This record gives sequence, structure tokens and C-alpha cells, in this order.
Amino acid sequence: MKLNEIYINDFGRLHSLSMELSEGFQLVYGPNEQGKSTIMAFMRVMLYGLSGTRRQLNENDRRRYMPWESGKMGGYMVLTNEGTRYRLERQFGRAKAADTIDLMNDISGRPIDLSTGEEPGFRLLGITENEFVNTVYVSQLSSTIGTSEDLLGRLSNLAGSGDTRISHLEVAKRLRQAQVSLVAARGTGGRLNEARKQMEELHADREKAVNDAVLQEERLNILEDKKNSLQQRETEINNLAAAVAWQEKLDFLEKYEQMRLRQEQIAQGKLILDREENTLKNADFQVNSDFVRQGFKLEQNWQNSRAQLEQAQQQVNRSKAKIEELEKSLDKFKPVAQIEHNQFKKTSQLLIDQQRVVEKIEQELKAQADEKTRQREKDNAGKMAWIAEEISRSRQKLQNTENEIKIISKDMERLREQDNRLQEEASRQREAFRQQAGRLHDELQIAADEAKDLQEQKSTLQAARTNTENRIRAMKSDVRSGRTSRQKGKDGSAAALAGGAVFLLAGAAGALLINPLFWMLGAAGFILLIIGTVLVMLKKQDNGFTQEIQLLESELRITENKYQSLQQMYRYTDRNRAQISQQLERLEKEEQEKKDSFHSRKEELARHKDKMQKDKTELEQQLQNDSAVLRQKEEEAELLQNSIMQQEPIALDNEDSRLQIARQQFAESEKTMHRMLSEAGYDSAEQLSSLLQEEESLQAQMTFLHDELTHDENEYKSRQEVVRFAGTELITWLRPYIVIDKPEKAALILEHLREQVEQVEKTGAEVRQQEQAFADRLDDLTWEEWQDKANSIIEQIEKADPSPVRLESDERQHLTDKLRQLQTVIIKTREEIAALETEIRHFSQSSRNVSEIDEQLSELEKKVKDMENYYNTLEMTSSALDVAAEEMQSSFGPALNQAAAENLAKLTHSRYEDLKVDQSFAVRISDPDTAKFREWQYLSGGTIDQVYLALRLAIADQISSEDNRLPLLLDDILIQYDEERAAAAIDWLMAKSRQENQQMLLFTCQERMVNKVKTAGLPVYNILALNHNN
Amino acid sequence: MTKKISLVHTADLHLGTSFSKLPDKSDLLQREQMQLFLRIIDFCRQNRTDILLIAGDLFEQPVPTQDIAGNVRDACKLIPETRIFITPGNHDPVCPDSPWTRLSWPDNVHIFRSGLEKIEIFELGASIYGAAFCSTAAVRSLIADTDLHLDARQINILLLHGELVGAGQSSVYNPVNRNWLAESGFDYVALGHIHQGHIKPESLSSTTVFTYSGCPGGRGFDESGDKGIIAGNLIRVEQPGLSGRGFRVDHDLRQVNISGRRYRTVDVDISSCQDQDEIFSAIREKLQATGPDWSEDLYKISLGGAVETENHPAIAVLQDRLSREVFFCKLINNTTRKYNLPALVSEHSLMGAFVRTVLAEDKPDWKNLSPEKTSILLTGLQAFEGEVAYREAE
Repeated sequence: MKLNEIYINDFGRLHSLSMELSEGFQLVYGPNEQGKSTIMAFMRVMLYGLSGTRRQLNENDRRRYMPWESGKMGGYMVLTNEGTRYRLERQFGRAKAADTIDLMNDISGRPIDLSTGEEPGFRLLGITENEFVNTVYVSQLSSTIGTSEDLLGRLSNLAGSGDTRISHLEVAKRLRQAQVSLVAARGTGGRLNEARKQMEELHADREKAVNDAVLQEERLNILEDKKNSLQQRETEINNLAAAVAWQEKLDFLEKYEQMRLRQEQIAQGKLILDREENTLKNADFQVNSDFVRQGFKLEQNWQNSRAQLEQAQQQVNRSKAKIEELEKSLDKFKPVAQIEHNQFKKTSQLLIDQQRVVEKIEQELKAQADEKTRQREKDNAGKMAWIAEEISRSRQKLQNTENEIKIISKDMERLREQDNRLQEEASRQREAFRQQAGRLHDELQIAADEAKDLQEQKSTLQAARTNTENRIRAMKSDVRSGRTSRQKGKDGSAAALAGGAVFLLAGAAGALLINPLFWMLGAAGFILLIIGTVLVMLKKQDNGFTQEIQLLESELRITENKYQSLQQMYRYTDRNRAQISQQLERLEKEEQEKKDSFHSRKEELARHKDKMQKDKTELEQQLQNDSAVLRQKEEEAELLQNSIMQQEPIALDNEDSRLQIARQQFAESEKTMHRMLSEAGYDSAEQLSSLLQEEESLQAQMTFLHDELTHDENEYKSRQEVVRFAGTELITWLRPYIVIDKPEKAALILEHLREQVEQVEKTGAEVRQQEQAFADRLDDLTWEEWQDKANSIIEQIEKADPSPVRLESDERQHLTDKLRQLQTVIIKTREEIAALETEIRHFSQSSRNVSEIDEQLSELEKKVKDMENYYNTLEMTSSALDVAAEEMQSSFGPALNQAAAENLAKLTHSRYEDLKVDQSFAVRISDPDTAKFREWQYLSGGTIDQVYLALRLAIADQISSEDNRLPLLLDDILIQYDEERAAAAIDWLMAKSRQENQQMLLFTCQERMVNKVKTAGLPVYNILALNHNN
Repeated sequence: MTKKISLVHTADLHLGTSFSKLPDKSDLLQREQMQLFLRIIDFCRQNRTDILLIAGDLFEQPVPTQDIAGNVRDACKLIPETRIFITPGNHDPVCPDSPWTRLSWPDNVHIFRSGLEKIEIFELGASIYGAAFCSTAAVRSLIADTDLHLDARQINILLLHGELVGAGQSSVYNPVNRNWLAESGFDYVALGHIHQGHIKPESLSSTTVFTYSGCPGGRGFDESGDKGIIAGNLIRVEQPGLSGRGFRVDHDLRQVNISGRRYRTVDVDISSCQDQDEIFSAIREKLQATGPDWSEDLYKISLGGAVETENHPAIAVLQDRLSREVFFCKLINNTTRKYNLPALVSEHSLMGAFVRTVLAEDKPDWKNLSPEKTSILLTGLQAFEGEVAYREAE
């Protein structure tokens, strides 16, 4: 198989590049980034197409090799296989669908059918792309492999799977992980196990749900029975209710009959009423009680006016009689002289006037005297009030002083109590201090005793420690001094014992077998034995000393520990003692402070007390003074009161001149009057005055009686008018019913009317009462409705078969009782139904739906089955993988080992001659120094590179026959090689190419290779020149 | 002389389904469920149907919402001439709060509320028998131990929700013995519970036919395809010579498709597709082929076939594009990577050896590998490329 020519139309950075390739080894040289790897990739892509849709650019050929210029990606390649020359043309679009491929016989132009999707690489080379890139297509290691470890991993993969990217173990691990995710290696984990568990739970749920459903069905059946029973009872109760309803209907009919009779009675009553009312009618006018009542009222009015007229007549007559009688009385005063009479009247009048003047003056004087008296009383009252106020103020002051004294006394009492309390507190605190101080003294004493004890113990331990230390020092000294000899003895004891034993045995043997003189030798041996024994004993003693020293040292340590403990305790006790002393001092100081405080408080109290006592004394003195003042004021008040009491009212001034003149004038007029009376023959003025007054009075009466008579006569006339008006009014009132000419007739007529009206009202009331009673019995129905209902019932009764019969009361009672019983039963049944329904409702709410569980189960079963299938598939896949790995191991392994070993030997100039890929596909190499196979970890990086190349080319050789080797494409594979290794490798490659007639294209940027290849006379293509040419 | 009883038989509407797997469309789908029921009612009205039989699971829950139950009851009032018979199923059993006991149903509706009950329709010469679920399961047949005494002069119809079982088989959903039913003498047995219904009645015996009407509309991809109701006539053909009853009962009952949106499961092989556009076109073409209203349906689309790595379907993108064209779609990628098995078989590598091991004797016929071997092969090859793990089927 040979590549003859390539032409790159556009591919990545390359454009219109053509290369004619030679057979055998050739070098394609060029600096980095000039397209060497791209040419190699072009060859791969031509044979196997673009690969990958991955996002990463380096894994996506279509994106990675998108032309830098605008041309069409693609080109052609000419190659020869088994004597046939082929031309392969490919164009690549943006997507696979746009790709074109043409493979033809380059000589005949006959196209080769690739419609099955077969790649030309597989068709011509007989290997898949995978094989191609893992064998003859060796890309630059530096760009694909990071570390030696990575390289070895690939090496191992390559050896194990024929693919650098795949490891058998990795594939097996992936399958196993998938299985474990379904069924955990240990325990019950894994999705399949969980699903199975879930399924078991669902089955349990289902069983419960089905049982619940059965129970619910049973409950519903019971419910249905109850409902049926209820329905029957309801039918029964309906029948009973119908019977009761018949009775009610019959009752209604009876009631209706009674009502009908009442209705007739009412109608009768109404007829009578009409008749009665007609007698009180005149035309359209109807007499009623108001009419009669008003008539009587008018009649009474008329009668009253007539009576009053009568009275007025009588009054006129009485007045006339009085006047006649008075006229007779006046006749006796006719003889009294008219002149005397006038004189007397004048004098009498003068006397009266003068007396009035006297009285007036007396009144004025009296008023003046009264005013003076009032002024004096007012002054007295003012004085009394002032003194009373003074007394009150003094009393108040006295009271205040007493209160202040009481307050001071109370304060003094409180001070005394405080003083007592202070005394008590001081004595209590003194006692407490005594106790606490006593306790602290005791504790101090105890601490001192303890310290003393501890000091003694410390001294004892100090002595013991010193003693033990001395003993240890002495024993150590002994041991040191005896150690050299004992060491010697120790060293010699073994020799002495051994020599002794040998001499003893030899002596005994010699004496017995050869010569008795040998007993000497035996004796010497015996002595040696004794010496040995002594030495052994010394050694034992030395051991005993050592043990004793150890014991003493141990004892010393214990003593030291004890001493340390005691020292610590002593320090603690000492500290304790100091603390107690401090406490005691603090206590005493506090006690002294308290004592001082008591004294100062006591002094303070005494000062207060003295001040209060002084205040009190002053106040008491003031109280006495105030009391004396008060008593004085009270006496003054009493004196004033007595003087007021003794005052007389002030009398009028009889000496007043006006009064005396008036009295004198009055006395003169009185004398004149006396003289006139004696001249007229009257005994006294009083007698004459009495006669005159009597006559005057009779005259006045006469005038009055005349006035009265006139009034009475006027009254009589007006009464006459009133009587006439009242009569007319009465007649007018009665006129709508009856016309009368005289009011006297009215009374009789009205009496008659009243009786009749009363009768009508009575009849009307009776009728209304009946009607009300009737209405009350109607019970919210109209009478028409009663009638309709009754007619309906009668109609029903006529239709009913058998006709309903009215039941006796006991039968009715029975019916009612039964109805009531049934109602009770129905209520109970309804309650039972409600309870049952509640129970069912609750039950159905708490139960799961079977079909829902079934749906879940169905889904889960499907899932479990699916998982089980997948698990089995994984299991079988793993088995198949194991078989495949074994096949690889058995068929591929030995040949690969041999070929790789040969390659490695040639590459390393036989330094490494053996290479082995073990069962776990780990690559190991025989170490030339030890002839042992070593793990790769022991190899240098350069050697690993060599191993990789050896193995790669060995695998490449495995896939093609010796007579038709596939072209080898190598991308700077020696770049990491040192000078020596690189020279060896290129020599080997050129030799291999030549020997096996294998085309090899080594792409490199290393100039050192160019000379090497050129020297060998092999072609070198400079990629810069190729590009330049283009 | 013949006499016909026009009949509609449906079941398993499951009104009130939550459609929780399609949360953004659940409200609409619930409304459409009720519209489906109204279409059945309208069908009865237009065809003057004598009897509407509803064989259980009308509601999804024992206690549906008041709206749903109220709407069903009101819808029943729209066809007063049609006698409606309802038997509660395991999803909507009779219980204290169920609409069967709580609601007041119109006169034309009869609900079987307990064990076997018979309702005679004299004017049609027919008797309807039915029994109700009283809980979410019935381990014993609801009509077992019942002495039927069918009136041979009548057309006898049995309405039941449950499972037909053979001798010795059991079920928690009202197991009805097929043999017992064959000899029962019923002329027509209207069944519910199995959602994948029959297209037409099937014979149990020479005189008895039965049908599972199935659900009239799908509620998920496990109820995909066309759905419908059973509609037609039971025909009483007088035949004086016929022993026993003097007539025979024929029928012309068939499935009538009244469903709205359909759930459809579609498999699309995209092996030959070269890019995403081609994949999209292939899917669209397949969906269009389902029928004229294809864009209104719900699809579960399984993409299959072996594809090149670079032609791996971009599920999210495709899903987004398709969602603009159809009511709902869910894409599942079941494609496998395209392997060149003939080439791999000859490969000098562990992978080649693995393929050779799996194929073994099947090598000559590697294109028709058993599913088991295909699984092993694909799992193994996947493991060569990277991690493998169990992937839950969607």
C-alpha cells in the first residue's frame, strides 16, 4: 500500500498544496505552525472523513480544519493498493450532508461504490479509523500526551485494547458501576433494590386498601339496609299520618258545623238589630246614644235655666222686703237736730285731725329712739365679735403650742427608742464580733498547729530523704567500685565455666581412657567451674545491688513526692493562716469602725434630745402665758356681755316741743267737744257719735239694697232670655227625629229614645260579641276558606273508600302513640345513618384508592422489569467484554510482546531486549543489569518514549501483512528524544522501511533529521518550499 | 315486525382528572373533558337516543367538585327524552358525600346505588340491570349469588363496571365470570373499566354480546389514538318459531368517534436524516399523516434509529419548533449511535473483539440481531465511549 500523491484544495491553513510522495522513508520538514500536522490530518480525513460534533475545537474536525481562506474544504489523494491505483476526491461542506466523496480507479476512471456508507479508508486499508489512528497514524506525542504516566496509561491501553484511549479495566469498571447503581455490591442500596422495596410497600398498601374497600362495602351495605328500613318506617308513618289527618279532617268538619250554626245566630241577631235600629230612624236620620245624650244635656240645661229664673224672682222679692224693713228703721232718727249735728261733726272732725297730728309726731320720735337702740346693739355686737375672735385666736395658738409640745414629746420618745435600738444593735454586733473573732482565733490556732505538724513531717521526710540519698550514693559507689571486677568476673565467668566444664570432661575422659594424670586436668576444670560459679554469684549480687538501688531510688522518688505534697500542703496551710489573720484584722477594723459609728450616732441622738427638751420647755412656758392671756380675754368678754344685758331700750323723747304743742291743741279741742255735748244734752261724745254712725250705716244699707234690687231685677230679665234660648235649642236638637212645640215634651221623648238606643246597643254588642267569637275560631282562615276546605273534605270523604270514620279518643290516642313511637324510631335510625355515614366518610378519607395504587404498581413493575433487563444486559455485556479481553490477551498478546521486544531492542541498540505486557496489560521491561522485568516506574522518560514507539509500531505491524505494509505516518515522534536515541530511532525506521518495503512519512521540525535523511539519500520535503511553490 | 331501541354506551370519562403532568394545560383539558361529555349528550339529543348507558368512572374522584357534578346533572336535563342509566365505578363509588347520594338527579336519570337492581322500561320492552361500586375495590362480583330470573319477553341489558375473568381468575375490580355471563341470558352487556375499548360488540354466546366502550377521550399517552362511544340500535326481530321468547335481538352497535384532542404516540426513524432540518421535517411529516386535525393533538414522539454523532437530534430545539405547530408534544430520544459493525467486527482491538464476541454466530446476519444482543452490543459500545447508566423510560 502506497500513498502516491496528495492535493489539498483548502484545509485549515493550507491552500492548493500538492505533494508527490516517494516510496520508502521520506521526511517532511518544516518549522512549527506551518501545517505538518494538518497535512497528516488531511490524509486521515480523506480516508475516514471528518469526525465529531463536539464543541471543543480540537475534537471537532469540521470546525478545526475549516479553511482559513474562502475555498472549498477538501482535495484529492492518489494511492496504490495491491497494484491498483486509486484516486480519492473529497469535498466537505458545513454539515455532513453537504460532503461529497468520489473513489475511482485512477487508471480506468471506474468509480468505486461507497453508497453503503463505507469509508474509503476501511475499503482500501482494511482497517477502521480507530485502528488507523491507533497504529500507522502516530500523532505528535508532545501535543497529546502530558506525562510519562499518561503515556504509560496509553501504552497499557494500547496493549490491552489496541486503542490508546480505551482500557479494558476502565470499560469493565463503567459497566460494573452501572450495575452497582442498580444493585449495590453490599446492603440493599441501588435503584433496582429501592424500586423493589417500594413495590413491596405498594403491594402491602394495596392489600390494606382492598381490605379497607371490602370493609367499606360492608358498611355501605349496612347503611343501605338502614336506609331501606328508614324508608319502610317513613311509609308506615306516612300511613299513620294519613289516618291522623283523616281524623283531623273529620274534626274540622264538626267544628265547621258549629261555626255554621254560630254564623246563623249572628245573622238572626243582625236582623233584630236592624229592626231596632229602624225604630230610631227618621228618614235618613239615625238616633244614636250621642244624640240622646246631647238631647238630655240640652233638656237638663233648659230645666236648670228655668230653676235659675225662679231663684232670680225670689231674690227680687227678698230685696224689696228688705228695703221696706229698713225704711221702717230709719224713721226713728228723724228728731235729731240738723244744726247740732253739723257742729258736732265739724268739732269731731277737728279732734280727729289733731289726734292724728299727735300720733304722727309720736311715731317719728319713736322711730328715732328705735334707731338709736339698734345702733347701740350693733356696736355691742361688734365689740363682742372682736373679743370672741381674740379668744378664738388665743385658743388656736394655745392648741398649736400644745400640738407642738405633743410632737416634740413623740419625737423625744422616738429618739429614746432609737437610742435603745442602737444600744441593742451595738450589743448584738459586739456579740457577733466576739463569736467571729473567737472562731477565727480558733482557726488560726488550728492552722498554726497544722503548720507545725507539717513542718515536723517535712523535717522527718527531709531526714529520710537525706538518709536514702546517702544510701543510694553509697551503694552506687559500691557498685561502681565493684563493677570493673564484676565485669571482668562477668566476662570471665562464662569462660571459666566453659573451660572448667571442658577441662573436667577432658580430664575425666583422659583419666578414664588414657591416663589417670588427666584427673589433674579434671581438677583444674573443677576449680575453673568453682571460679565460674563464684563469678556468676557475684554477677547475681551485682544484679541485687542494682535492684536495691532501683528500689531506693523508687523510695526516694516516693519520699520526694511526699515531701513535695507536704511542701504544697504547708504552703496551703501557711496561705490559709495568712488569710485567717487578714480576716481577723479586717474584722477588728470593721468592729472598731462600727463602734465609732455607734458613738457618733449616740452623740447625735443626745444632741437631738437636748434640743427637743429645750424647745419643749420654751413651748410649755409660752403655753402658760397664752393661757393667762386667754383667761383675761374671756373675763373681758363676760363683762361686756353683762353690760349689754343690763342696757335698757332708749324711750321716745316726751320733751319734744312739737309733741307738746300738738298735745295741747288736742286737749283744747277735746274741751270744746265736751262743752258742745253737754249743751246738746248728750252724755258723751261717744253716745252722739254712736247714733250718728248707726244712722249713717242704715243709710248706707238702704243705698246698697236699692242697688241690689236693681241688679236682681236685671238678673231676672237675663234669666228669662236664657230659658227661652235653652228651650229653642232643645226643640231644634230634637227636630231631625221629631218636631215638638214645647220643650216640656222633650224629657219624655228623650227617655223613650234612651231606652230604645240602649236596647239597640245591647243587641249590637251581642251581635259583635258573637262575631268576634266567630272570628276567633276562624284560625287564620277566612270563612270562605273554611267553606272551601269543608267542601273539599266532604268531597274527599265521598270519594274515600272505605269512608273514614271518626275514632274514639282511646283509638286516637293509640294512633298518636304509635306515630310518636315511629317518629322516635325514625330519629334514632337517622342518627344511626348519620353516624354510619360519618364513619364511612372518615374511612374513605383515610383509605387509599386501590386503582391509584394499581397505577403506581403498574408503572413501578414496568420500571423494575426494565431495570432488571438492563441489569442483565450489563451482566452479559461484562461477560462479553471479559471474553473479548481474553481473546485480545491470547491472540494479540504474545505476538505483540515479541514484535514490541524486537522493535525495542533495535531502538535501544539491544540495551533492552525484552518487553512484556502482562495479563493486566501493564508494560514491563527486562532490566539488562538484573535480567528481571521491571515496572515502568523504574524507567527513564526517554526509555518510556522508546517503549511507546516500539509498541505502536509493533501493533501497526500486527494489522498488516509483511508483503503489504501500510504507510506509516509519523508526526514529530522523536522530538523528545536525545541525540543518541533520535539517531538510533531514525536509523531503525529507515532500515525498517527499506527492509519491509514500507512507506514512511516522518513529519518533523528538527533540522538534525534533515541532514541525517539527506545523508542516507532519502527524500526530504520542505514544507515551506511546498507552500512557496503554491 | 321489528322494534329498535337506540342506545349509546360510554364509560370511564374520569371527569375531574387533574392532568398534573401537563400543568400549563390542565385547566383547558379539564374544560374539554366536560365538553366531551356534553358532546355525548348532544349526540343523544340529535339521534333521539332512547337509552344512554354510563358504565362507571364518570368521575375521577368519589367526591368531585360541585361544579363538575352540577354540570353533569344539568347536562342530563338537556335530554329529558333519553333515559340515562349510571353505574358508579371504582373511581367514583357510592359513598355518603358522592354526587350519587348528595345531588338530586333529574327524572330521566337512574343511578344504581347498590347491589344488582332492575329497572323496567315498559314502553321500550327492555329491562336495565346494574350494580354499583360502593368502595374503590370489589373483590367479589357485584352480581354474584344473584338469582336473575330474566324476563324473556323483554330485551335484557346489563350495565356494569368491572373486569371479565375466566374460571379461577380473580380481580379486585368486580370480577365477572365470563362463562357465567355467557349463560346469563342478557342480550347486551355494557361494560366499563377497560379504557381501550372495543370497536363493536363481541359475542359471549349465541344470544349475549358485550362491549367495553372504552374511554371516549384519552387522558394520557397510555390512552392514545382514536376513542369513542358505542352507539346504534338493539333490534328486536320477531321470530315466532324461535323457542323460548319468540324473538331474537340483533344490533348495529359500532364505535363512534367523538373525541376531541387525541393523545398520539409516534415513532420516527431519523437514521437517514442528515441534519436537524431533516429531522424536523421527518417528524412533521409523520405528525401530519395522523389526520387533518393533527396540529390539535398531543404527541409523544419517540425518535429512533442509529445516527451519526454529528446528527444527534437537538431535542430542545426540535421540541421548541414543534411546540409552535402542535398543541403539545414531548420528544424522546431513543436513537443510538451509528456504528459500522462490519468494520468493527474486523477491528484489531478490544472493541472489535467485544463486537465479535457478542455477534458470535450472528455475524453473518448482524443486521437482524435479537433485541437482547442489540442491547448488549449498544451497552458495551457505549461503555467504550464513556459512562453508562440506567436511563428511565419516558
